[in-house]
Amino acid sequence: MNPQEDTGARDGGASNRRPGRAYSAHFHLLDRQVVDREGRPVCKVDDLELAHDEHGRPYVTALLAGPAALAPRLGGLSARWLAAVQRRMSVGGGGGPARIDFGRVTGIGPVLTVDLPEGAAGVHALEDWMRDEIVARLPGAGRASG
Amino acid sequence: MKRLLAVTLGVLTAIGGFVDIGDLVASSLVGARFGFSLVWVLLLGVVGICVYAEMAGRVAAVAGRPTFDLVRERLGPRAALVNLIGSLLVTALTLAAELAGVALAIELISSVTYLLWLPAVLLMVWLVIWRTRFETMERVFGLAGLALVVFVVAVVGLDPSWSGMLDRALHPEVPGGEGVPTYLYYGIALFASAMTPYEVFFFSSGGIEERWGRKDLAVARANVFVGFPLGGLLSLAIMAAAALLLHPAGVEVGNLSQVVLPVAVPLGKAGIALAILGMFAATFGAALETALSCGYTTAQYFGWRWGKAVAPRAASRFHVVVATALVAGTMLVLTGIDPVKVTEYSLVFAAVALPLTYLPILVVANDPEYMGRAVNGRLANTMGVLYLAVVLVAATAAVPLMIATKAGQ
Repeated sequence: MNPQEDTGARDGGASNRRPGRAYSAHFHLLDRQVVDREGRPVCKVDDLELAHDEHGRPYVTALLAGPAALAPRLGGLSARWLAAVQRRMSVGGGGGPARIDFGRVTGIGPVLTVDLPEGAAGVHALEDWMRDEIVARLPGAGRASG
Repeated sequence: MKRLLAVTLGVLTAIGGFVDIGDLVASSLVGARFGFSLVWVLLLGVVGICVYAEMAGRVAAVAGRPTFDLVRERLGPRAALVNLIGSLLVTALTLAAELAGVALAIELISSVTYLLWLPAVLLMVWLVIWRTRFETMERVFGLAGLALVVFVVAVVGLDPSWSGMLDRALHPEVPGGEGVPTYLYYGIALFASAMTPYEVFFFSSGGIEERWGRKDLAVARANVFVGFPLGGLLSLAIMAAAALLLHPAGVEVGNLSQVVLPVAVPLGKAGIALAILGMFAATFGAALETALSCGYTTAQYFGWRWGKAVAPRAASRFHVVVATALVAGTMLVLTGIDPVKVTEYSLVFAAVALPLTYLPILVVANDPEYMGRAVNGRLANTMGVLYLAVVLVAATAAVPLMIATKAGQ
């Protein structure tokens, strides 16, 4: 596993981990919330992309997100349903899970902080469709109520 | 004054748990049927929700994570999905009942059937969620819901024998003519509604909407230890008023208009007016709490952006879930189904959701990687483990008891 500097701990929140201490993919990465630099939710870590180094040891290359990544982990009927919904709702080709390169991860704590290029944050087909077709058409959709 | 306003989140959350439409009728019904013999369950529930809401609030303030984030992280996607479905069913069914409750409160004033008021209620609730600031919302409905204090005044005004009441509450016995399974069924229903999962979802998410940080731990605690006991007190007063007046008269409470009856005896018209205002605010507040909770849980399971602090167009999936729950709830009530029955049956799904919600909170509240030095103390852990056991027993017994007693008939 890639040891990462723990810069993502919130102010005074999580205690800093000792340098060099390993992270568990299951415990510290999977199913955690991913946020961008400003702390805005991006997605969950629905799955991880792994590769093997020359000694055959696995390491994480990317975070995978979205129904296509989540469905195989659910198993059973719910997985088939989610995958079916995802297939029907995805636009264009591909249809694979969204991928965030692990090099973009800047902090591992209660949340995973990632450094995303401007404008790419949280762009999911379903969110785009619901925003453009439903929510943005209602008056007041552009202002936060606070 | 500012200090007082800081605890309105706890008050509004507790109102949704203790004096929402199902509980307004259930507390009154329990008082009328069982007198004071189930008061101990209510107290058990108040302490239980305090224990877990305190943990959930602390995790929200220190680690910045709302409850359903913890559920997904600690239980994995599959068990969390089971919890999500169970919680959504409880919450959405309760939401449907609350919408009907608001309409029923208007019916009590206007004498126009509640079914005609429903579309207007739907629109009002949605507009508040869409446009009102979170703090304004919790203050208006939290404080207006406190008009239910009129039940406390009514109980005092009835000048009961306090020692007799205390004695009957401390030495509970199943009243003659009621079976033990029925007694236990109502006990579990009362306990489950006090500890209903959407309270911690709403409370922890509300704390994040208010941008709680580590310095707000005292505010979080004050919210818990003022809000929930206050909700419990209101519920207790409704039960006591019914036990004092309706229990001896043999009245079976089946609807909202009977709930206000005991207030009329000592306080007259002014009392009824306040009681109806309180019911309107409490059911409206509970409708907001449950509608938002549907959005919070779903968004937090999938990792979407959520909340009232961002513009709706930046959290469109969250707002679509909330609106869908509101429309679905309204349509369910428009079928003419009895809204109080709806909240009773939602108990089945609470049985699934309760343990799967409270276990992850307990685990994370002990994890120094989230909490630093603010991990659980010995008292919080002892109480947490004890209540987890009670919740498990209640969850296992709920469904068989419901079937055996035909839902308490």
